[in-house]
Amino acid sequence: MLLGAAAAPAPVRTQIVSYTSALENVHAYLALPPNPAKAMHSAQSGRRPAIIVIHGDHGLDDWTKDQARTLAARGYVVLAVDLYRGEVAHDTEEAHELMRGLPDDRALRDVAAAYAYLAARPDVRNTSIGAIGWNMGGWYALQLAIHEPRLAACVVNDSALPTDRADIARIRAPVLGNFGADDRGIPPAALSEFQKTMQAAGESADMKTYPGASDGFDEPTDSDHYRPDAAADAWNRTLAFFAKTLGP
Amino acid sequence: MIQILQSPRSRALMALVVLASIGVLLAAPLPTSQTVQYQSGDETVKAYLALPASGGRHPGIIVIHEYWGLNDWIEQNAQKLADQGYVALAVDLYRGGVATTPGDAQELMRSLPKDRAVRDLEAAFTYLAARPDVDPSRIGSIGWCMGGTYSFQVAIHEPTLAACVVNYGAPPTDPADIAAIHAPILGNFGADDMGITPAAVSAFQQAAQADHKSVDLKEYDGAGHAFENPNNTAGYRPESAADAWNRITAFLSANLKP
Repeated sequence: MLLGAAAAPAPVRTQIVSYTSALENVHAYLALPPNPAKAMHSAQSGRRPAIIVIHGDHGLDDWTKDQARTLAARGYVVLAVDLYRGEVAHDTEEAHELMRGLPDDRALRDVAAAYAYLAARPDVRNTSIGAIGWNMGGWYALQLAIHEPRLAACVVNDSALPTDRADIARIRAPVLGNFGADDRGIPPAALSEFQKTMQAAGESADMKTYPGASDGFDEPTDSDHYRPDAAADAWNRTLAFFAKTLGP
Repeated sequence: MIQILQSPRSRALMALVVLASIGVLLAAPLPTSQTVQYQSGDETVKAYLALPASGGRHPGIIVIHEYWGLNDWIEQNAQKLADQGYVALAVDLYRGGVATTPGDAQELMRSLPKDRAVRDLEAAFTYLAARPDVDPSRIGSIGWCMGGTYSFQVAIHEPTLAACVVNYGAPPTDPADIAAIHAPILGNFGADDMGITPAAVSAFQQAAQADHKSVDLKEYDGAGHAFENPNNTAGYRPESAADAWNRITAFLSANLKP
């Protein structure tokens, strides 16, 4: 008698892809979900929800790629952009130089191009594309939410929040935010202002603050700031939020 | 000398000279600095204002801090510019935050909403233009590091800005943004800057010149990021910094002084 063999979980496949951002060719790290089991002949088996992963000030580093793979394992087509176009910071000083040197207009273009790339993929359901970013990357995730009304979900972690009310009113995607309460640069007032403006525009913003945590609380490699319990909670919120907003 | 002072008459003379000198010093108006407030959107913001010694109308300069925030070094630069005859307004984009460690500075920079920063800079321009001691047709901007990037933004958003100085700030790449710039631009960059490469600067130069913009950009060999700040012990390059300051002085004078 042949029992159904317990298959080893199919691995997440990764590759470097390239596409056009304005007149330039850019690269990104793509993580694909495991293939659906061959037994499932679903008409929908071709298309999945997708997530744009936007790195923080250190660039498209190993940690960010790991987040991308973890999301792909949950069934999303994940595109981790490279706003620094190949550069990665090894320390705070390099992160500073790279972040300060990043032309804002180019970053916005690259993120918009990432959305367009995913929306055009035959394996992506283009009504279910979300974005997630950490610190600097969260700012760009929200900028994408402002400029791309079809973005279906937006998660930000310890990011600067837009303050322009007209901009915020353009956001259609529900927003989830995870912040460290001790974050020097992002006062509680900034979060509540953003939340109020979103609500006034009929949009949803679920912002959570973790006491005793500041920026970097969700990064295990950031030994000064890492808070495992807060990080796990933030991650669970994120996964639940994407499942609800982007679907299976 | 001692012999001369021995006589009562000579001592009286010395005393007179000293008193007269004090009188002269007290009579001349001294350069002043003060905290000022103005509206930015719905909010009231503060800035550090340094005024030239003499009265009348002066050119104005918006002074934009590095990622450390509005600290002593920026106030000193504002004062140096006031000494040269400019009404210098050092904005506080961090609204009171100042960092002394790179980690804290990076956190402040990451957390700064760019739209708010641009709004604060536009408010700074409006504030200077409305001052009776400022000639609104002669307002410039200067910034270092993060402030250099924002100095470009002032030029993009203020068509009547009369001069723009950028020290190692990120040049715009969007042709529409470059087209919006009318102020002549002076740029100082370290050739070893990891985040702003000579290629990036040269790409901006080409795009700006193709659009008939006035740009004077210099790359300093052997210098990296933040080479003009003496507090940057590893990266400070005194000769390059002095050269950059001379370029800045000459450029501002040529473009802002009558």
